[in-house]
Amino acid sequence: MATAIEFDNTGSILEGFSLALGAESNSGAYSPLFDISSLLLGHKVNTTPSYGIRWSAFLAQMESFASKDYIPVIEFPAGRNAADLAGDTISLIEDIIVRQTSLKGNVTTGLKYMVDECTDNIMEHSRSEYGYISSRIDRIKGIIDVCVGDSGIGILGSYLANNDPDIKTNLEALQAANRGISTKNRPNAENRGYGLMTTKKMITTGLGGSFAMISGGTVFMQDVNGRHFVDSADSLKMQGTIVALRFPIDNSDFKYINYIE
Amino acid sequence: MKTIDITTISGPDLKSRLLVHDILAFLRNTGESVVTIDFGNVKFATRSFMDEFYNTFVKPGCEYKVSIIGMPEDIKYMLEVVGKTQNKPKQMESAGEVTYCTSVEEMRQCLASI
Repeated sequence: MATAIEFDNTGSILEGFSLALGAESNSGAYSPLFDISSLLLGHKVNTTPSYGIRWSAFLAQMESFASKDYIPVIEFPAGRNAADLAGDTISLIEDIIVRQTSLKGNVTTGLKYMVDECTDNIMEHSRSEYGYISSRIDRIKGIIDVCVGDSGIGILGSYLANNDPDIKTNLEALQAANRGISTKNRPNAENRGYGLMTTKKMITTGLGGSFAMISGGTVFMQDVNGRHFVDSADSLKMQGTIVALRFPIDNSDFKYINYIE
Repeated sequence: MKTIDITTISGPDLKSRLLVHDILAFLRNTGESVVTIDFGNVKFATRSFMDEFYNTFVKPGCEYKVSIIGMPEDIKYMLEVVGKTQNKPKQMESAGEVTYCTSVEEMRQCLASI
């Protein structure tokens, strides 16, 4: 069952979330791109399966966030046998975000597309038991941040699992994934890799937003100004993968179908 | 010919590749050799779903043939796009600048400067 989780430690996925979302560093510096630290700090994590609750109770719990400006880190099952529950959970989160923001229909479809492609990647590639999603609205700036992650094998692990001989580091893996080379890009699956490509095009060109991906010790960022990789040389050992999406709420001219390729 | 409303299996949002395999299993268990899939109540589909759907039910040589009715225009367009990109070289995205950091703190500062 999906659960709303809270945390007070620095587990790897949560460290990654805090980095993606710009949690306060020791020096007090904030990332200007993702500054959701006030949401994440001061909570307590509980990701044990026994923490699960009834769907109706989860619905009731989540309803309280419809009138707030954030959604806490929600844990959902990511196993292949739990695709329906994960899908229902993500749909619920998307519906709440739409209610929080009064998002227009065209942008709503774009949000669903991007979040669902990220979630499908977790189920297809991560081998993670759980996925995680969180969001936050900055009404002054008129933007929304959505973060989707997992604690699985990471992008490098996915290439290695598919016996790709050319990719040996987290940086090489992130570069390959963000050039459109699917970890399953084999002779019988040449048409993979478009979901991520389309998501980046949609959020940067279409919505004027920004995209970030963290896997292993490497971060990839893209906006309309370009693409940038930051490699930690293994000083950050994060398990799994996180995708962070930021875009302006008001995008009246956006049409998601224009970015499908 | 039996007609199946796809949303009775999937709900109105077609999200994951895995779902296509469940739809295939469902259709096989109907015992029908030819089935019409009704998309009329579908509200949304990801490209990943449509790609898996294309490769399972639409492309030449598929084991289980279906006919499709009621497909919304944007989803029909996505299916066409998916069909056109099969087995064709993808236009690779450009590389990007790389910055190397030696600590998480340095990494945070680097991210803040981008």
